[in-house]
Amino acid sequence: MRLLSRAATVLAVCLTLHPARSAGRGVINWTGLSPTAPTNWFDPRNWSTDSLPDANTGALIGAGPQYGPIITGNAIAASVGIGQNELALQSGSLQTGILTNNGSFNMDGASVLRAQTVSNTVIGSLDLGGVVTTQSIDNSGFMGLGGNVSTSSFSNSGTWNQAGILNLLPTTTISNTGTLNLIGGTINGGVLSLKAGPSGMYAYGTLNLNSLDVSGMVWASGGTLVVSVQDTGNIYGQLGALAAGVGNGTNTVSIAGSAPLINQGFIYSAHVSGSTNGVLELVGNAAGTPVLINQPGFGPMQGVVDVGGALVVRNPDFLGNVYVENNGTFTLGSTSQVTMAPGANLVLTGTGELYLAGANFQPAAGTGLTLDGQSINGAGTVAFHPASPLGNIGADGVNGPKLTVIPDAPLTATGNVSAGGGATLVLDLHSAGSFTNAGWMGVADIYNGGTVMVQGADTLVNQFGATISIGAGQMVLKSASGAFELANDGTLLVESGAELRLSGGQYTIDGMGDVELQGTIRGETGTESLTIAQWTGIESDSAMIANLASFENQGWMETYSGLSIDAGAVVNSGEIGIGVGTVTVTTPLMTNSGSIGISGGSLLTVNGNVLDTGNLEIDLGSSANISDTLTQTAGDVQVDGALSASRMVCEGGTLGGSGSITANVEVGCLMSPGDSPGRMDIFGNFILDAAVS
Amino acid sequence: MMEIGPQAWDQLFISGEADFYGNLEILFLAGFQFQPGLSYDLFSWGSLGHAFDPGSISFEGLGQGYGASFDPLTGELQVNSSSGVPEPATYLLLGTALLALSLTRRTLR
Repeated sequence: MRLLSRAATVLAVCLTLHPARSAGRGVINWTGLSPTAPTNWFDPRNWSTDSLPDANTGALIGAGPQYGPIITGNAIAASVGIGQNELALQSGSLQTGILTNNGSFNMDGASVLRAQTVSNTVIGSLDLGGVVTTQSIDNSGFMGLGGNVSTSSFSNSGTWNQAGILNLLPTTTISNTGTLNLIGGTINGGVLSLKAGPSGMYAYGTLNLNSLDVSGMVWASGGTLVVSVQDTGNIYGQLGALAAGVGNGTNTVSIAGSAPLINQGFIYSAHVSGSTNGVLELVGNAAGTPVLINQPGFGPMQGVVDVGGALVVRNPDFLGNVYVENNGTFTLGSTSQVTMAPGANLVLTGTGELYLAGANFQPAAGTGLTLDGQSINGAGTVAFHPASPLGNIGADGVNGPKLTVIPDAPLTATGNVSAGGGATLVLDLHSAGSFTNAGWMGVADIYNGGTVMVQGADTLVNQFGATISIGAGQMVLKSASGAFELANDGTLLVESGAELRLSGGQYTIDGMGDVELQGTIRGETGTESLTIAQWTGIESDSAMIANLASFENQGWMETYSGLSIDAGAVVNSGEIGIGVGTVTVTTPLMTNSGSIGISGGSLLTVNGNVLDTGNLEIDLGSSANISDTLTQTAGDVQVDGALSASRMVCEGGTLGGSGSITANVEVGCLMSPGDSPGRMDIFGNFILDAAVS
Repeated sequence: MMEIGPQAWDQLFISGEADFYGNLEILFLAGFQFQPGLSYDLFSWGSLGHAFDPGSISFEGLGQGYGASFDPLTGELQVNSSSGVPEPATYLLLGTALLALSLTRRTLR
């Protein structure tokens, strides 16, 4: 079968080399019959007409002669066809129209080939070692370029080893569906199109291009791939890859120029264990335009930059900023090493994400990372300057990864700020001061725990329309200066089983938003204080406020099925409405200068003393149990339900109501039993002090 | 302050010992209607340590022609009519006095 195939190929070649098909002006055959010089192109006895090919006569070098011709001078032929033989251009030059090679064409470095078209068929071997000037090179076989080749059209579907210099005119297009091995060579200018499929390019040399259209693989391995886009050119990485870091030696993909590389594929620098990492170099430009645009999309359609090895960011113009428009994913891996040139600042714009796969990227002083938009996801640490609100900030993974983001200015996020799957998200705001949530922030209840920590902040703003939701796990607020304000104009929801933790300092929740507390607000050390500011409300449902040095409500609190408060001191100067269930306050002293209303059959239990200068109203059917003393110095205590205490002392204000008081009662205030009118029962002793009524 | 209304009145029932060193203001609310023979049990106690001083008890809002008295030892309030429509007992006392006066005059004759 293989023999038949070979015979068919040879037949096809013979048909291709038929004189009538090879050149319209006549073709002469190489015979190699010169008795003295059977390889000399310039010996007429070696040609079928005993005359040399010329500008009007083509040359056909078929399989018959034992030796092929060797050119050592300046040869001219209307066309050159090489069959199962070889042509060697050792010195001098060959000028022809069409050079068709089915055999072997070798030219040494000192020679010159000028051909309108060079066509190397699937069985041909083309070794262009000298200077080649042509309008078109079409390679389907094996081609080696070791010399200096200039062409305006280049098509390769075979194997192309590039060791020399290939100069492409700006309009030149190389269409490569085969394999290009850039072995120490250089390709300058033109458009290099590497199509999908088995194609690829292995750049062991230097590739300087005006435009690169990649849909195959391009490897910078042992060489430098300089994608230096000038002025009008573009580089497209479509479903392909630019890669650095395979093999040893210098492995660099350098992206530079005043026009951007547009990537819809995969660009990466690889980490090579025990060897030199691949290097991805981003070189800024004086125009301040992106050197790289990562295209948006889904799955393989999305532009991806993955730095597993080295990333070098520099700006030769010393203008500082190196812009990358990232609408896809820009990944820094755990093995990545980022080198910022002095004064360099990497600016990521666009709607994509900076993904940390375990990386620690904290630019040194004098360098920086600016995120203009963008999202940050993954695990690792990144310090940056936020130029505009971020999208999402998320720690993800299932093995407890930790993502730490360190902005140097007030930070706003419009998307999701979250930690899921046991992950921890740390917003380290020591240098930023504040964080504004304009989207959704928290730990979703669909995850099995997670922690969002806001540390080093003075202010956490939850904007109108935004939500902080702790559905599972916890959110930790860690004050830097001692005072921490949670300005809530949106919705703050702590779900059952979840915790809002306060770590050191004095915390204030203010704003006009909703606070729905179904879980726990807890002090981490017991030294923390929490104040609910005036006009701010908390709706609690089987909730807990625990382990605080002090808790003060200046706003309003409504309970629906219970609340537990445990603090060194509890102060209410606002309004507490206990409508359903039990509110248990454990504190040495609870002070009320606002109003507390107990209704609907609910119960207030205070494990400690109560000092009341405001209003305490216990409706019919409702109760208040105070383990120690209730002291009233002003205001009204209206007992229409049941009040119990170890002792009640009324030193000011009014004590009234139609309920019962189980306590020893000493009244130094206005005593007005009944409820206009009604009956009050005191189970205990009663003293009405002198000079009071 | 204990309020006496048209239909009900304030009450303070103390299961233990009661000590009243302060003042007692009894306020008759608007619409209070005198009901002959009715006493008002304002206070109840398990034991009385110190009763209200009589001088510390005051009444307000009681209409003209009525009088009231509070017994600090029982905690009960009495209201009576000082003019206008006497109570039955008053009639009895008055009749007895007139009869005695008449009998005395006949004897002297």
